[in-house]
This record gives sequence, structure tokens and C-alpha cells, in this order.
Amino acid sequence: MPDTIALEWTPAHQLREMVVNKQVSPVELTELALSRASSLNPKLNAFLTLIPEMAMDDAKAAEQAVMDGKPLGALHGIPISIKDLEAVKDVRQTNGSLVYKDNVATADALPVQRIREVGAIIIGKTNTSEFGHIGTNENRLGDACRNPWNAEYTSGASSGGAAASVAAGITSISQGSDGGGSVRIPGAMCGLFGIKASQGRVPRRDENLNNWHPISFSNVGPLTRDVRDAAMLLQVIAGPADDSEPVVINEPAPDFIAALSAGVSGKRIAWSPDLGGSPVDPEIKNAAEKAVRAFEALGATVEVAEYKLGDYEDVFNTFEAAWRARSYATNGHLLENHRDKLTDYFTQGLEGGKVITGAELWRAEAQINRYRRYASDFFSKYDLLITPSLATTAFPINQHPESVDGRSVAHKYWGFTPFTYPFNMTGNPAATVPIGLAANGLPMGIQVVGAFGDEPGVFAASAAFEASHPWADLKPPVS
Amino acid sequence: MSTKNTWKSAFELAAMVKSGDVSPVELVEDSLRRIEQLNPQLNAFLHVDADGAMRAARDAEQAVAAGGDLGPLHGVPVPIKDVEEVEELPFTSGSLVYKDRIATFDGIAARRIRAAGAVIIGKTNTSEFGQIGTNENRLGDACRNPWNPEMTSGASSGGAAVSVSTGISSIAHGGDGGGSIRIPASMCGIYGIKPSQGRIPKLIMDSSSAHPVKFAQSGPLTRTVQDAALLLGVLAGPADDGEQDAIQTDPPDFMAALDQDVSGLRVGWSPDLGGVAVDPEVKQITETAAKTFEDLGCNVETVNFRLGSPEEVYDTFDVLYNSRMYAVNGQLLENHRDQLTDYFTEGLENGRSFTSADLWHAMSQLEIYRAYVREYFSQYDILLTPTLATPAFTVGEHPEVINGEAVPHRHWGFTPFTYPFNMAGNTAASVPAGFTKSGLPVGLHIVGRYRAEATVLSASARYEEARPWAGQIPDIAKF
Repeated sequence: MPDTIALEWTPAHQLREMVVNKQVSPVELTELALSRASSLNPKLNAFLTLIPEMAMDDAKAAEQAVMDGKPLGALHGIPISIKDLEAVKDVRQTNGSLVYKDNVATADALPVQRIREVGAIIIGKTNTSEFGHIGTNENRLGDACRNPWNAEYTSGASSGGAAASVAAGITSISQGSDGGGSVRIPGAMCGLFGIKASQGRVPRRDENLNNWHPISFSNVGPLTRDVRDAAMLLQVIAGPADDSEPVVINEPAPDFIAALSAGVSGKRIAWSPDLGGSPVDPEIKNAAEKAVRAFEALGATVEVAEYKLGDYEDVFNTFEAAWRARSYATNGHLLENHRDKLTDYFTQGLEGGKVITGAELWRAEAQINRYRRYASDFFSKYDLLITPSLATTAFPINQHPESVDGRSVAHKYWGFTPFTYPFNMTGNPAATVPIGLAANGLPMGIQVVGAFGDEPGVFAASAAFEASHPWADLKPPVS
Repeated sequence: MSTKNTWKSAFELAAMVKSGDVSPVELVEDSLRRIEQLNPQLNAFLHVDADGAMRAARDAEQAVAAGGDLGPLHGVPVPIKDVEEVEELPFTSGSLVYKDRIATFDGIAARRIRAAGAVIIGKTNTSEFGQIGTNENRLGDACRNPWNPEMTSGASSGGAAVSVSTGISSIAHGGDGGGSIRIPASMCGIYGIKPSQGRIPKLIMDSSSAHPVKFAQSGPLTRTVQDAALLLGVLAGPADDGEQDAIQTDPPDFMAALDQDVSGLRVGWSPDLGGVAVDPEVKQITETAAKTFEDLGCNVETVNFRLGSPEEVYDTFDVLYNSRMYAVNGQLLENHRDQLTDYFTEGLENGRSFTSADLWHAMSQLEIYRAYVREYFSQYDILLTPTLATPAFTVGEHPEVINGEAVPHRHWGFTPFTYPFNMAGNTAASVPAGFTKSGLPVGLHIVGRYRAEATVLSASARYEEARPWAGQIPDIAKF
């Protein structure tokens, strides 16, 4: 191994080459990841569960496969973390909830199975808000997950631990998931790349009645420091399977790696600083606007465009109705049976869901379908839409901003993230791309949104921006 | 009074109008005279537009004289169900609340019927907002069955079916959200087809219009299969101002489908959808009728088609149907309760009582049903069932027990075969299958694959040739 490269900051795609070329062993990579996890986790709480023995067993087997000249998968020997909302066989799965503190999964979730099949080494389960309910990472299993750029601050969530793991150089890649912004929020707050694919691109298994509900917002997706790494991981977890949940895109996934070199020349890019009226921190707005202009130099046309699904509050209320209704339909029994173990925010969400009527949900679902038509019309005119990723940077733990740029936000837990959930409702692919640090030393990002099904377009733009404005050298102080 | 054209098909009448053999004025006069004669007993029409129809007939006559292109229904009298807007005509929706409402524009179906050259003669009777499958409302006496005026016509397109079965018109516009074309067609001994969901778009009317779950379609009630193909061709196809769930591809040539052979089609026969209560006489009549398809060269087999228990399937339908009803019309409960029928009040109150979790689960269940139906139609081309579990019954006396079994709901127990295919979105027709000993018509239900109206029409046409019903006219209409 050339000693000029710090392995903990090396992208997964390079690590994989090094593993294949026997320059580094999966055992060495896994030991490094586990050692960084044990030294950083007390400060960051990125992991709810570490599985050093299983990981080392897998790493040794992976090393043996290299030595035996066996065919090696796309992530062979690369340490990875799994968010604690997905099942890893024989490993504790808390769902971020005290109720499931001692729950052990009996089978791998579909994305986990796919990650394992390509040779990645699972080192543990990452922190999340309770059932991924909100975009900051407090729960009753322990101290909050913290931001490697400033441990007084939230990592963002609900894939908070996944982001902290990658930002702190514990793993090069992490599996997260995004139902309202939960990949993009911690991605933006921790200075990473993260992508939520089109709804249905990354299926889970058909496991219960609610899998069948046609309105589904949540997608498993990658958090990485490097755009190519995200393309690699998404390629592994994307595409239909025989036992996919019903809301699935049935065509095979496109080639995300090939898209990385496509560039943005001739692309029509729309820039919306506020989605038609969301409050945004002016510093972020200015930084995002400056970043967007970079796409002109890369050959795209950039124009300010109105993208407005509806009034800011209406759009949030529609999202909240569907979000809470689904939470209650799925987990309402916890209110009755385990109320004393739930967080306040999850209790509030379930109680909110309980009182929504069928007619209210009907109207919200109709509204969501209208939003989908709006989005599909919009992306017939533009190739990409760019917005700030978040309305604010990370903030101190539990101090969710109730006003932004002097305006009250629609909801304390969602006010900082008005740009993410609209694209869960419409199902479009959306990524967060780092654009540097704010005056408070915390990362900022732009969100790159594509037409439904066009992850390649999002990857092409993200990779082009990464090449012209690289962020790999920005490393957080906590690491 | 001239009766020579009374029992001619719309196809024949349009040809005669075109060739100058008959004047549209004469046809409209005939229709108006028959309405005068029959409506006091049968209540098929809520509004007769004698003056407007005569004006339109004279215009149509002039257009023939002037030469040039004539629409496929040129000069043919057609009534419109009173849940569809016809500009400048009363638009009651079968409700006392809207007794004096006048429509200010044409709905898409009315617009297309008018554009095809038809003469709109009036608005036909319906249950309140088309809520139930029998035709009582607070605008007057119930719509009655021409085969026995003590009996219900069926509904909600009750007036449409009576108009056609008594020779007031050759064809009629109806609509079907739970069986509302097929129920009165079966009870009145005529043909009716509900197209696939989205085949005939509705105008975007309110926020609920965009909801992804839709059950209601306009469609034809006719005496001949050819006329149904003709009217369906006029009604079908995408519209710029239509709801977004509309099928966006152009419909096939339904008239051409009439010539299709059906030998070799895979036909399943289910006498009870796996457990619904059916009157034995109805079962025997429809079973005999279903065997006709063996003579036509189809592979007919008895199939086990079962979405779930009759109660579960009804409950799922109830949540979806009445949640929508309450979402759209809930304000009437608060503001006009004293003017509503008991059954509509009950439906709205049901709708109000459903929680978001009820709706969430029902929508998930719906997708499971849809998957089941898709799977069935990957193995079969046609599903045959009785159209209804009973023949027509005395007005207001919905059977609560059928063949010794209690039904899931009084207003729906006689029609367990129809609403499952509104939920699934498939096309389905009712063809006359014979008469009970007491002289009431019984229908055979022909269900096709989603978007396969052409298959249902060709199967219906071959059946019609094998078992013609055209000479069967109720005594009350024999003049």
C-alpha cells in the first residue's frame, strides 16, 4: 500500500481496486474501520450496534476469496454500515426505538442481501431517529448522533449515523434511506454526497400489507464522500427482484457508472432558490446560487425557474398528512402498547396520524397526485432542477429552528428541510452535493433533482460538479 | 303514432338519417311521445328537454340537407344520466339539494355525444349522487322496472336503462362506479359495458379529481352490442382537460372488434367469486348462458376466483367508496342533511367515520386485489360471472338474505359481482342471459382484461349472435 494514501479517506472504488490487486486486505480495511468506529463512536454515536466479530469473519472470508482467485463482487472487501431500519440477519435491529432495543433480525433485508452478495463487509448498524420519523437524530437509545464537523450540532437524520460514519472516515460508504429527506439531510449537514433514487428504484421486500400502498415515499440510498462510490452502491441495490415490494420500477436499473462521464453540456437546468416561497437562510441561498452558476461553465443553460407545487404551508401539510397517516397505519399499535417508551416526536406523529380522517387523507393523496403531474410537466421542460439542499446548516442538538430568515416555519421538525420532502411526494430522484462551508464552519449543499427515472442525469451533473469543484479535501475536525 | 323506428338500433338510425330515409325531427318526436307515455309510470327521466331536442333535431335535419360530414350518431336521440353536466340543462345529481341547479357547461361525455351529432333529449333518473344500485331519491317516485313496475329498475343509471329497454331511445349514456351500468342493464334486460378505468376521462372538477384511486366510468347502455361499440367509440379517448388518471393512448377501433372471432379464448366461469350468496335460479340461468361460450369455441372452465371473503371485499370497497364520497360531498351532511336520502346520509356518515389508517389499509388491500386480477388475466382472457346475485326486487326492498345467507350490506348484497371490477379497474359488460320464472331479466357478466374492451365486445357480439335477445320487449313498451 502506497503510504501517501490514507486508507480511511480513500474512496470505495479505489479501495476495491486495491483489494483486487492485493495491495490491501479486506481484513486490514475492516480492522481500520472498526478501530475508528470504537474511537469515534463515544463522541459521535454514529453506531447503535457494532458487529466486530461478524465483520472480521466476513473480512477473512473476503481475503480468502481474493487469495483463491474467486470472482469478486462490486464492493468486495469494502467495509460498509447499514442503517438500523434495515434488517441484518442475526443482528440487533432497534429501528431507533427503545421498544425494539433487544429485537434481533431473522433475515437480511433485500438491499442488505444485495450489499452482502457483492462482497461488502457490514461492520454495524447506524443511528437513526425513531423509525426514521424526523430529520434530526435524537432517540431514547442513548445520546444523539452528532455532527463530525461540530459535535455540539446534529448530524441530521434520519440516516444520521450513516452520514457520520462516512464523514468521520469510519467507512467510505454507508447505506441510508430517505422518506422525507433522510439521506439528503444528513448528507448536506455532514458535507457528503447522498442520493435518493426515483421511488421504486430500490425495492424492499414485499413484507406486509402496507408495502402495497401505492403512495410510498421511502427509498434506500447511498451516502458517500465520492460520487462514483454512490453510483457503485446504488447500482448494487437498484432494480426489481422477484420478491420486490409492489411499488417498484420494473425495468432494470440504468447504468449509473456510465452516466458519471456524461457531463451537462446542453442540459437545461432550472434553479429555484426557494421552491416558490420556502424560508431559506440567505447565506445558503447565496452559496447555492453561486454553485449553480458553475453549471454554465460546464456547458449547461441555467435559468431561474418557478417550481411551486403550492403554498409552502399547504405542501408541508399535504406531506405531513400522508407521512403521519402512514406512520400510524404501520405503527399505531405502539401508541397503545408502548407509549412510555416512545420519543415525544414519534408520539406526536402517531397521535397526529390517529386523528387524520379518511377524507383528509383522500384529499392529501389527490393533492400528491396533482404534485406528480406538476413535476412531470416541469421535467418535460427542464432536465434538472437545482435547489439548496436545506434551508439552514446543521444546528445544535435539539434546537430545531422555528424561524428561518425571519419567517416562522411550517413545523419545527421540518422547517430546515423544505426542499427534500416535495421530491419524496413526487418520487423524483434527488441528490445532495457539497458546496463548501458556511461561516459557522458547517457544510452546505445543493440539491440536484432529476426527472422521474433519470438518476443518470443526476449523477452526470453531480460528477461534473465534483470534478470542477472537488470537496474531497474538506475533512471534519472530529475525525 | 309511428313505431316503425322504435326498436331500430342507433347504428341503423344513423344510417337512415344520413341517407335521408328518416328525419332526426321524426326520431325526436317519437322519443318525446314515448317519454310522455311511459315516464309517469316508470320515472326514467328527471328532465325532458323537448324544446331543445326539437331545435337540435331541426338543426340536424338541416345539416343532412346541406350535405357534408355527419357524426356517427347524427340525429340519433340520446339521453344523458343526470350526474353528467349538459350545458343549460338541470343537473340534479339525483339530489334534492341540487333540484334547481343548471349546468353551465358540458361534461366530456356530453360534449362528445353532442359532437357525434346525437340529439340530447333529457336527463335520466339516478340514485342520489349515484350512491346505490337502486333508483330511489327525493326528487320524486323511484325509477321502475319496465318488466314489472313494482320492481326497481336498478341503478344508478336506472333511467338510462329504462329509456333503452322501453324504446324511448336506442342508446343511453350511463356511468358505473360500483356497478351502475351493469346493474340496471341486467335488471332491465339490455346490454351495458363499463370500460376500463380511465378510458373515458372526466373533467377535473375539484381537489379530489386527482386522486389515484378512481372507480367511476361513463359508458353505454344499449340493446345491441354494436351500438355499445359505436357509443363507446364516441366516448373514449384522452382529453386535454381530462383527469390525469385517464388512459393516454387512443382507444382501439371498437366497431372492428365486433367482427373478431372468439374461438380459442380462455374463459373462466365463477358462479360466486369464491363465496358470495347467489339466488339459485340466477345461478342456473347464467351457468347455462356461460356454456354458450363452449359452443363458440372458447375453452371454458370453472375457476376459483376469490379476492377474499365477501365481507372483506365489501369492507374494502366501502372504505374506498365512501371515503371519496365524504371527501367530495361531506359538506352536504353539515349543510343540507334534511334534504338527503337516508342511504346517502348513511354513506357520508360511513365515510366520515373512516380514519386515515382505515383508508391506508384499504388502499393497500386494493393493490393486492389488483395484483390478483392481473394474475388471473395473465391466464385467462375472460371471466364470466352472474351480473347480479338476484333479479330485480320490489322498490325499496333490498334483499338482506340471499339463498339463506346474510349479505354484507343491504344496499350492496344483490351486486357482489360488479364492484370488485370497479376496484380492479377492468372493463366489464352485462349481456342478457334469460328470464326468471317470474319474468324478470337476468344478466351474464363478461369481465375483460384492463383496456381489453375490444375482447369483451367481440365476446358479447358472438354471444348475441348465438343467443339473440332483440325480440324481448317488456309488455309496457309494446306500442
